Amino acid sequence: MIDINEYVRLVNSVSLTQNSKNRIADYLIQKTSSKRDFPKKQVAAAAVIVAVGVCIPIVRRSGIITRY
Amino acid sequence: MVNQKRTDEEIRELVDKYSSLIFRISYCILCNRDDAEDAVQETLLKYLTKAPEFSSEEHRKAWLIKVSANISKNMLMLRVRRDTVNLDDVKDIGIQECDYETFELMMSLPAKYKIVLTLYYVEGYKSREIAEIINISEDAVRKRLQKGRELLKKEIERNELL
Repeated sequence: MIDINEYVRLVNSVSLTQNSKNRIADYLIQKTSSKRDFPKKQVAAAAVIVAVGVCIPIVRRSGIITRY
Repeated sequence: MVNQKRTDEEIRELVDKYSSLIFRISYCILCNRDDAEDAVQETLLKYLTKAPEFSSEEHRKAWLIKVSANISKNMLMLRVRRDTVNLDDVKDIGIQECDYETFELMMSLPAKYKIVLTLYYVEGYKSREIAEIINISEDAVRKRLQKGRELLKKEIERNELL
């Protein structure tokens, strides 16, 4: 007669092979390293430089800032 | 938010520590090795990118179970439902050939009963904790446990008569 203990025994023996674990780990390393390597600071600095470089001439030409 | 940089070694330790637990939960819902492996990947990826801070190890485990159950349920809605388990798959996940028929019977139960039976009897959670993890009432957990046990018994008895 099979009872709930049999369910526990069988479900408890369900596990991943070492190969599958390695594959999953490799996938996660690859996925997270692409985010880790993203040069956030450099991109932010470049964005500020571009914004300043574009905005200052526009503001000057528009006459919003005038010299007294 | 936990977004600190993790080394490759830390990621491998994380997989070693939690992948089998997540895989068991996902397999009970999906009944397919490849799909369950995908669910493990997605759960751990979510953990690495979006997990909140945990107050204890139990809190962390409960979060992983909850997320893996949700991911597996979503996958079940999107993919072809499988009512039988594949013999080759089953051998790869640690089930002996002599236990195949019994395991197949167990896996033929509806997912909502299997997840409660697994969390209660295999992982050792209390009804209250299961209610919090899968977001149903404690009464509903008890009813599912009772119904799950009855269904399991009926399935097995029916199979013995055949």
